[in-house]
Amino acid sequence: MTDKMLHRTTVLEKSFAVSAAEVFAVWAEVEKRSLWNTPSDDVVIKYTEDDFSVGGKDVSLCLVGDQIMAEVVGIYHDIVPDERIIYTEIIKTGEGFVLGISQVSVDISASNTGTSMVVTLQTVATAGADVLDEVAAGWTASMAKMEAVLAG
Amino acid sequence: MANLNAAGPTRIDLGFHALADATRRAVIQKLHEGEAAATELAEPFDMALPSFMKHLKVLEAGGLISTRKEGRKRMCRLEREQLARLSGWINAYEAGWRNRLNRMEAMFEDKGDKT
Repeated sequence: MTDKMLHRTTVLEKSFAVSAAEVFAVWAEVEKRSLWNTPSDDVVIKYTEDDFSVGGKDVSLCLVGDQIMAEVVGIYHDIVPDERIIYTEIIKTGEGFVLGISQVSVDISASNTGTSMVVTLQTVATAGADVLDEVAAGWTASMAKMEAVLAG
Repeated sequence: MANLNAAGPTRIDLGFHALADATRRAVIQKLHEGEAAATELAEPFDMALPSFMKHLKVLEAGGLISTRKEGRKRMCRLEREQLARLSGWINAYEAGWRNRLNRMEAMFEDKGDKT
């Protein structure tokens, strides 16, 4: 069976009243990054590896209590200080099963009011998409049948 | 809401684990046609019934199927709600990113207040 995948691109934009260097620093410095880089207030991020350099890798665990909810491996591909960061995030379950991979492109530029930041996520979900497509197809077929019954 | 594992850490991990196997995915595909007996589900697979039953247990632990006894048969049905939760991970991931950036913004704002 060939696994299908689900792809999506999302663009997130922010403006900050601080310098581009300050914005870049909260990505580059792991102490600062761990303050904001968590998907929810319930989740604590713990970095087990940190190498913010081209070709470098960082590894973080998303923890709720002592439960590992996800492991995120970041690999840095391109870094231009105060301007650009391109890296991939590989999102796995605690037991190492890959849920998805996202290319994260961060564009930082000076604006009239401070700094503009555009984060583009190009995500592929590798888990479950094939099954879900099949199930959706099943539902579509069921609905068509229901429609036929009602019409008849 | 933006929690990567809104369904609870254990359950959703088990759900993804359950999907990480071709036999189990094939069972789910079959079950979307409707409830079926375990022995009927096992037929297409070249494996001993006890081995196949282990797959069903994994699917049940992941919340993807539920089972009930009907006479001597073990009937299995799909739990569509859990499947829908798993499909939502990409949405949760993106919502998580929005949260991350809001938190970053709050950090800068806090810093601005102090200066």
